[in-house]
Amino acid sequence: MIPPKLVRNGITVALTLCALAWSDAAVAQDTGRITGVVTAAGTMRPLDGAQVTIQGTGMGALTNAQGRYLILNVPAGQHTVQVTTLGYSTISQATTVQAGGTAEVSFTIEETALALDEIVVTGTAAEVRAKEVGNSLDAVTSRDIENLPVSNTQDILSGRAPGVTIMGNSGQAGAGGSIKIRGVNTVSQTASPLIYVDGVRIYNEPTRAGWGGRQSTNPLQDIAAEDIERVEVVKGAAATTLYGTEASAGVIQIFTKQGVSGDPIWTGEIGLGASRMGSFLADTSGDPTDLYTKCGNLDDLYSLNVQASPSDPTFGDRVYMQDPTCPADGDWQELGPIQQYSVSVRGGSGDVTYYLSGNFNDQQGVLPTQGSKDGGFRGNFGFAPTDNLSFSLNSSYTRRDTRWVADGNNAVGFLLNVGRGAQNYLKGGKGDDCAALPADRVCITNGYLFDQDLLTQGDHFITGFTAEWNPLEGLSNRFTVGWDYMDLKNETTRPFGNLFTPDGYFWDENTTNTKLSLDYAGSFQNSFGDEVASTFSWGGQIFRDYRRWTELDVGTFAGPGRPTIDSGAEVTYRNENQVAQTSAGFFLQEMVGWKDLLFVTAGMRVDGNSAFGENFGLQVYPKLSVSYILSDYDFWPSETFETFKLRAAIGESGKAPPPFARVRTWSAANIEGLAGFTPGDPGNADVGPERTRELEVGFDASAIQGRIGVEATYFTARTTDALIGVDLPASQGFLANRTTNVGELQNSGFEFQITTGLLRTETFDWRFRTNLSFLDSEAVDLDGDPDFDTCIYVGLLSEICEGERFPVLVGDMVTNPDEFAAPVIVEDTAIGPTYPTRMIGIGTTLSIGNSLTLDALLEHQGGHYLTNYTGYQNGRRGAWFPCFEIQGQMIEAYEGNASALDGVTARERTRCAISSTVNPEHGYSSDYWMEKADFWKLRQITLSYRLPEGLLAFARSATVNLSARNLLTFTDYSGTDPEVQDFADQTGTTVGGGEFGRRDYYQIPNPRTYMLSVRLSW
Amino acid sequence: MTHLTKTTRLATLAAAVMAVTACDGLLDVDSPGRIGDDDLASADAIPGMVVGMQYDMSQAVDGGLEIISMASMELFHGGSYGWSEIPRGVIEDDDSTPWSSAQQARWVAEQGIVRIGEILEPAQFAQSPYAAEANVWAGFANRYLGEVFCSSVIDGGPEIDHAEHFSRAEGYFTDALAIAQAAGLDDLENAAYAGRATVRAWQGNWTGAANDAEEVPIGFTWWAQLDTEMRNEITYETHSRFEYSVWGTLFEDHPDDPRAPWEIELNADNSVANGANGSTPHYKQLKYTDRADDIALAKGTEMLVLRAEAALREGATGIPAAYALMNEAREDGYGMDPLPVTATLAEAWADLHYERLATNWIEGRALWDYRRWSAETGPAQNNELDGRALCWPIPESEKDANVNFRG
Repeated sequence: MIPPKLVRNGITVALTLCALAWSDAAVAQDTGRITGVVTAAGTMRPLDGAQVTIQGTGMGALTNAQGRYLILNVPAGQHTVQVTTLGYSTISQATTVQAGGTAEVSFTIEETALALDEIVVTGTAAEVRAKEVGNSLDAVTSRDIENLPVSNTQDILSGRAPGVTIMGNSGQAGAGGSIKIRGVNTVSQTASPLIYVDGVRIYNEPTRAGWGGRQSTNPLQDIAAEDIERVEVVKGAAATTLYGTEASAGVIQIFTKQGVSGDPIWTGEIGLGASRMGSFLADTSGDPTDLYTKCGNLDDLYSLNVQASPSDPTFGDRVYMQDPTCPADGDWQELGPIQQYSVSVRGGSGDVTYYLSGNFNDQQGVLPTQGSKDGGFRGNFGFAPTDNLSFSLNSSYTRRDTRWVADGNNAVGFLLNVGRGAQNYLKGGKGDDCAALPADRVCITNGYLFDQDLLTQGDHFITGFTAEWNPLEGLSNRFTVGWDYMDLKNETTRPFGNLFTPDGYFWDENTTNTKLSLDYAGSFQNSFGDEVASTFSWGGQIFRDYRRWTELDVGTFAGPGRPTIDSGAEVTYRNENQVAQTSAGFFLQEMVGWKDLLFVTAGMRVDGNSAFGENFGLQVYPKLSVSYILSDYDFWPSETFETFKLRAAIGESGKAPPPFARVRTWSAANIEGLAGFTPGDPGNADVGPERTRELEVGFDASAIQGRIGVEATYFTARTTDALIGVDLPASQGFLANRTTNVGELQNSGFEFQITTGLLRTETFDWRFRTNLSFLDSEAVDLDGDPDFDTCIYVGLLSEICEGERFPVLVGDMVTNPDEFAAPVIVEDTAIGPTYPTRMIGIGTTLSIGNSLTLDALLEHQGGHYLTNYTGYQNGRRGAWFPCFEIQGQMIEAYEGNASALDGVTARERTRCAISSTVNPEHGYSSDYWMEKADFWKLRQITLSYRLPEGLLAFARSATVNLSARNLLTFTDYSGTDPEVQDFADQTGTTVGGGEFGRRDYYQIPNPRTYMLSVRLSW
Repeated sequence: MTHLTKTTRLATLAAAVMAVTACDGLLDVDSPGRIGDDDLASADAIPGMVVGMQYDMSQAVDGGLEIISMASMELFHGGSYGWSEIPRGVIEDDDSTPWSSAQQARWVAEQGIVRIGEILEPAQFAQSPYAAEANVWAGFANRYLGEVFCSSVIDGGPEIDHAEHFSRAEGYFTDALAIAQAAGLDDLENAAYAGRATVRAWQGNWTGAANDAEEVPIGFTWWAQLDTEMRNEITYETHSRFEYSVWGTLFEDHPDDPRAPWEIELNADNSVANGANGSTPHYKQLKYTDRADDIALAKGTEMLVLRAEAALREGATGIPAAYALMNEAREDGYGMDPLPVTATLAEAWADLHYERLATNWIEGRALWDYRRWSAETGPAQNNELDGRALCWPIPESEKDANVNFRG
């Protein structure tokens, strides 16, 4: 027989779903209501979104924009009302509700820069108070981001968490970025952090890049920013030990919004805006055509004929061009409209809570045909049939449709052709395209670049079911089963009649990623007398990953029409890759607290993995951390310095080898209809995970009523048994390298987070938050041989070299760049790291009254280098405006005027080199274009206006936001954008796949984005 | 407060541990598409193994053809790919090299022969068409290594003279011949004769070479086979991209030789199109026009020219025979007019040089011909590529990975 309570709750769920949670408001005669206002101490500003609950009843409500809440149908009698909200102290009040009456309970709560009693999940076995954690904690909450222009969820972390590097790889709408936590600590495996959404591990690597678009998306993009309640960043092996073998690159924990008891609260937002590049080059002062994108600027549309023989009479002459396919306004750049819509409802009744949402975003790019649309749904349900048992089901679905412009190192890429002026691949056009052009102009026809479709379509479904059972006081059990399904389709179509491929071409790639996770964690809290407390935790996880990737190239079509894989006469390439990997492990942890002042936590994780070699057993990762709350001592001047926590942690985590590194395999070798075998992976029966041991020390402090908060951390991490693809002699038959645990890597750094409240009055509230990170690294050993200095090429001109920071650009360096002299060149030297070593985020929020808020974030990344391949390729082709005058002087010098180069610096001589004939002493090389990529960007600036209460009668609150993103860039970088990356791909296990090396190769830079949005809550 | 007993705690811990560790096969995965080493220890796998040999050899020949053709000046670099100094005849040990694919082709064939020998009974092996073909592939892979590289390595061993590959190849071709003859496999027999003829010649056994060559019909060809998936790179790089040109090569002056066909690429306005580097006139080779065009490893016409070379090595007395053989190849093989018989040995050698280069044009063989001819004295010598590298060194990658090269 089904228990009546379950039946009742089931009916409640059904009714809730059908009616989107509008419950009957009938008030029983023996109930009353509780209402009140929640305001912040000091500023006396009302707090929106604070959660007010009646303890022991499951009843509650959220405050509105005026800080007011209302809880109906409260049983008459005595109750304790509690209010919690992130960034503020938790506070309770007792009250008595009379039948049919209204109890007024208002709160004034203290803001705290360091909420030691705040409950966190970060890197722990169970929810704990922040004061008990010995690691640094970083979280971004919905309150931090609710008014920001977030078109991509990765933007949430940009400049907001020390040690986290977010790089926007491309300005194409829909493109994902690169995320690294505390730099790169591997040579051959993915350096992307693990991602958890509501306790479910999801696919965490950038998706496969489209063949022509050469950009990928990031799974974080599939989590709608509007749905996010909180993001916690778990940095470093000392904090991620309990996550085990795959966690040494860090963990990002995302918690989405949940339902709360009370009447349904709807939130809707409409945003309209546009993207505009401004310019393609970071510095356009020397180029009136903005890399030839202003194709209507005919007077300046020329390059230099430096590719002819120097004896040719036209050598060095201007070559004028004209594009009959140039847009009517003379500019390839367009205004890219943006639309964003979202709606959500949250509420609950009795034992059931819900949060439902939907969103749709349409972002058109700044180039013709480019754009991205995505949308999806989320349903989060909570069900608590008894006081000690609860269930939650959190599910989301996202659909993504991105149409790329061909990008990067691609013969039919946009900037590679348009940006090269006359030296492109699309000259002559079709039919009479060029007939009307003057004879002395080269006819370029870049409009045909858009005669191709480059699509990425993705479906991403994430669901997780969690059961929590707390049968005894102090004992908790949580079990989660999660399923992550991501299907991605990439297509490149060049139709029949295409200028570049007249017979047509069709490339079709399908990738399916699934991840099943089973996760159990239990904990038991106990105390021994008044002074000693204990929390013992245990748990186990199983993760099963599967990926299937198929790829097919088809060519030679019979005629026009949309191609399919069976309509081409030739299959020119096909590939299938299936990978399954399973990991399983368990952990044990004991935390002992003394007088609520000192907390010592010791734990270990034991892991097995299907990728471990046959001769390799389970792995044990230990951890130990200490947290010491000095500010709770009597001697501490807590009136001024209210909190001070010292912390230290040491721990290990790892990274699994690739799935097939352990066994010798053969691959398919098919030719002319015959099937055969060719050597695949040489196999290594001894392969195991690489292990990172990290020591982290620091302190968290706040002072002057939370006006100043400081978090400082130093970490040092040693990765041993680093997985290196060791080359085997090709004469032994296997060309793939053998994945071997022979490397040793070192990472270290300082991180600071400083928050300051400069002004806190009822009228003005002005605060700053500053994040600073300084990272260092060294490749200590790459081959296990101290006598052999090894460098490993990791793609895109980047290497990992013993004794150097890693990854590092290696090339020929001009040591006297600014001298007016012949260049002095040091060959094959480490020039600089490819990822930033210095990150600064300075944010400020100024609130005026209760209505107007100005929020801005300035971000700096520096210390790293990038190769301006665009400049290199254009320079030697006579298509780089800043070189024109210099190249003229070079030709003069070549023709005998030795003094012609007197005013030309060594850097200019190498970069603008024409050929080894004209410049025999150095020639041209992309190495000379490796340069510092430091930049400051005004990431976002937002002006928010909260409409006065009552202006919209039906609304709880209404806010209008006017925002801009990437409005200003300050950099000396000579290319398009110091953040861009060619061929960003998920293939972290493949050398050169975009994880380690970076280069700017005719990439579309990140545009400015302007948004006007209205958010209503009712 | 209710406390857990010690027993309960231990039981909970034990359950957690057992949940993870007690599941037999928990960490086993099964991914399709991966072929294990053990899967090849079966008679059913032999056909696939031999196809793999063909695949690897074809890949080696196709993959190396661009750089070898530039090094031998059969094609001029007119594109944008960075080939270091190879187009200018300077080859370093860290340059692009066909080493890896060629060594893989050799290893796969040689190891495959051992595997097939372990699977088949000796009597079966002696008549197995797969064993015969495997030996043919092992022979051609060794010939390729001997022709292209200055010195070499076998299976991660120490450095050896490149000519050891020729003797090794001769052994494989001899084995292939015996099996093919026993099994009555004409094509494989011809391939073995043709292959052995060349490596015998390269070892100075011109009599043996001529005898073997005589066994090969003029119409016979043994191919490195390509298809639309393992495409002919020369076709792609000269027709879809303009990376290599006949401009600036020997055959720019021989526009009508059917063995070395090419044409001038014109723009829409009838001007000469430039290569991808923007400056080199694109004279487009027409020997390979389809992405699936195969590349010859041995052919009957080459055998005639080889016999002609053997005849010339007899001195002036061999001139008539040499011209008879060269003209047989021209007339019967390509429908060309015969060459007039010259009186001097020097003129005869000059004709022989050209005929051989034309017969094997863009097949990856000319660099070796220049190399051996440059080492000759007297009229057989050809110094056309003097000052240029005529072979590839063992690459840095092999030397870094091979313990025999680490000081």
